[in-house]
Amino acid sequence: MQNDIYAISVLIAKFIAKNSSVDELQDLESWKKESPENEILFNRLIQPENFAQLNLLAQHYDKDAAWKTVKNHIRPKPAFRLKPWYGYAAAVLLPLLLLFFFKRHSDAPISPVSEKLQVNRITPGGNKATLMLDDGSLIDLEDKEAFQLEEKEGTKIKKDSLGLHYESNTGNQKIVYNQINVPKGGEYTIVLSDGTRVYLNAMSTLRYPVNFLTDFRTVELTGEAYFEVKKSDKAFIVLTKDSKIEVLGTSFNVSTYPEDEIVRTTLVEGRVKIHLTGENKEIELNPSEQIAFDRNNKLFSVQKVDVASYIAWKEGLFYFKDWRLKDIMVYLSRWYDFDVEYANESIQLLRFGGKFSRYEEFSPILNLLEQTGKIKTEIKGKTIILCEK
Amino acid sequence: MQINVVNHDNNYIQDFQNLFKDFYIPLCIFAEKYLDNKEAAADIVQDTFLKLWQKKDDFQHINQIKSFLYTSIRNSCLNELEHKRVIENYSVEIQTLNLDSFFHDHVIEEETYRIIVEAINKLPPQTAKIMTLALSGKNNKEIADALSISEGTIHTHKKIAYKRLRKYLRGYFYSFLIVAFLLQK
Repeated sequence: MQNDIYAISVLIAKFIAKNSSVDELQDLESWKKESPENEILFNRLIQPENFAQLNLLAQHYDKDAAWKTVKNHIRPKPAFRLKPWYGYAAAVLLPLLLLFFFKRHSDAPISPVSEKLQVNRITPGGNKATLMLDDGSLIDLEDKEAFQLEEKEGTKIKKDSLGLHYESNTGNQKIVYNQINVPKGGEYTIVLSDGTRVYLNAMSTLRYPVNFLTDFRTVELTGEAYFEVKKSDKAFIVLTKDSKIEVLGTSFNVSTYPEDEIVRTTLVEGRVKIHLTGENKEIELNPSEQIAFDRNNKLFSVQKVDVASYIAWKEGLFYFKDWRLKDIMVYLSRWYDFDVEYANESIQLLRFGGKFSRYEEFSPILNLLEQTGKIKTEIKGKTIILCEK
Repeated sequence: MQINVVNHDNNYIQDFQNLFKDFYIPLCIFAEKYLDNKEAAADIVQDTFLKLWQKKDDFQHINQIKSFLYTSIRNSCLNELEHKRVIENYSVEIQTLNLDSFFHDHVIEEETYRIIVEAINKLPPQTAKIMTLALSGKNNKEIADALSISEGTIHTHKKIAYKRLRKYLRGYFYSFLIVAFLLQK
């Protein structure tokens, strides 16, 4: 119980110092919603009068004099095992609550047989997508066969085990659009006609012209994709529901799932300019920076992040750094294709961390969740039921 | 878990002093909420720090230390009040003070205050004064009058201050990430 008090204090302090990120504002809202007392406390603490009053009380105490008294009572002792207290902010990890629940080992625990039979219905994803040509015809990209076809204006499209490749064909002047749809449990890679490589995550759609004939290279995205943009004189533009991202030659990740409350663009290298729909300003990102946009409250923040955790998926890994259980489950359910139910509301907000291959079977992951001692899991067909331990 | 054997006694005392200087006043304010008496509050806080010094080998993490400080002080305060009630026939309404929610709310209040003050104290003195007045609800004109400087200067100081506070408070970002654990109340 102690630790959420300290976490909340930090959140409120940062709020008062006008320094809250979009994630922090969301966490504050969750805490406030937990009980009316929390909301009342918050509203009281953010009043300047409260700070003024505490300062007034503070005047009556003399910490220097008090320290002198305490110091005189202390006799120096040699063996002290705590690293300087003031390293705590970044360095010290509390073992009890550090929930890194999985590091991939080849001898992962095996679930009991009956569970395994059910969980076999929940399997990891793979290369799956559907291509829609300009005339609306659909081509399934899932099977292993390599093929080559031509769009109606002559551009050659090659498919192999790595994905789809578009051959540049600037001779033709007709603008023709294709669309790739990646379903639940799918991922796909496509190389556009300018050489830009796009890795698409599960439940994503990319719409793009088969050849870039205008002054800009513009594509439209829903879901999540990692872009490796080929350098060119023409700016590369990614349009999403909430933003327009302009790039010259760079690698970045865009996460813009319709059901997510917060959408993020993370820059790995290069430079991007982001224009949020409805805002007047353009925000430039530097490498390792991420813009997080809260759709509900129309707030955004820019932070330096550990990019590895946001692009791990394209390396075939899941890498959660202290995510809420509900966000973890939403993310996993796009890949493993399951539904989730919670027996208790509160466990959704428990935070976990972990790093593991996404081609892993699902049952070991559930086991490890149970091993943290905080969650009990139950599987009914394609539904996972989670409850408090 | 980091374990560090430090050989110089001076370092321990220095660390302990830093901790004391940061926590002493917020803890006194906290104790005062229970006791309604400043001298008694200060005494209990001092005693608690002495207890902490005796037990310092027991702790590996700052949050454990905070928990110890706030919990011990609460317990000492409640004991004191009970003592007064029994021995001195001193009637005091301790029902509210006994509640976990009272403890919970005031730890948050004092910790929030402590974190802000700790960050402000890292600012240069003039800027710190300005920020303290600003956070107390004074507008730029009032601050300018109080400190006899121009409003323009106030504005500049505040801009720099918020930027620096952002940097000082960022360290807490990790602390939160790692230990945040929201429970049902």
